[in-house]
Amino acid sequence: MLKVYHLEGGNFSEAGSASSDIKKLLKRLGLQSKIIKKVAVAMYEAEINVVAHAYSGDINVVVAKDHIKILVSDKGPGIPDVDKAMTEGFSTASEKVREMGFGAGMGLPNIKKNVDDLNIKTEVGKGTELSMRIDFQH
Amino acid sequence: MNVDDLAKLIDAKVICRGEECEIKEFCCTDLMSDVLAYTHEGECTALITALSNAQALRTAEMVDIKTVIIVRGKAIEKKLVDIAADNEITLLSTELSMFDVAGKIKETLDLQKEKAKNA
Repeated sequence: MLKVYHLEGGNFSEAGSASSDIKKLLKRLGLQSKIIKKVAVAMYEAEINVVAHAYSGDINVVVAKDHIKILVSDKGPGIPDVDKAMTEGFSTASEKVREMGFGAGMGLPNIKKNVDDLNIKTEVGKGTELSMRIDFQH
Repeated sequence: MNVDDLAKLIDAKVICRGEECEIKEFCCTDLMSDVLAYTHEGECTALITALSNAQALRTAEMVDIKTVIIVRGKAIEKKLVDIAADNEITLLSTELSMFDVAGKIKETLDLQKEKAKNA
């Protein structure tokens, strides 16, 4: 099953609606709530990252029998130092993003905590591609 | 603590009523990143926050928080109510500050604990 979503940078009122849609879909499929929460948190953090930092982005979600793959690609500033961005507490978020309750430097580390596989491809000045996989059985 | 007892305790209006559950844990913060990173595995948690934008409700939705208390009488946009209704989240609004809300709840929980110990 493939689901595709488009994200707009800066559009905070819609941020999270793609993750909400996927969460509801997984619930209908009858997956364990622990797994659903992992997917929802990881995807929502990624969605917030795109809305907070990029100009636009796309999310492709593939739901397979035993796992889910989420590919989040954006057109944006890219991440100059991925290791730094993976450090808890490091953030380059704007004041506006912080007013929304984010920008505490927990996004990428929290995504990593919730997924079974995470891959980040990024190019400064062009954008970032985040691919993650969550297995249904543990 | 159920929603009606809670609403009475903190003098809150019930803006939207969702799935009923006995609230066991409370989380006080305006930092949604913290809610996403540290939320307990607990089954029925209430979020107490002064953040009155859509992300407070979206965050609650992602981590299965079923009750959200907006403090200091902040204006609540329709979008928040829509997300709450769509996800069966109970939304409460109170004029009290986060400190006062937390204080009243803590006092009540401590009294309940004390009573249970002496029973």
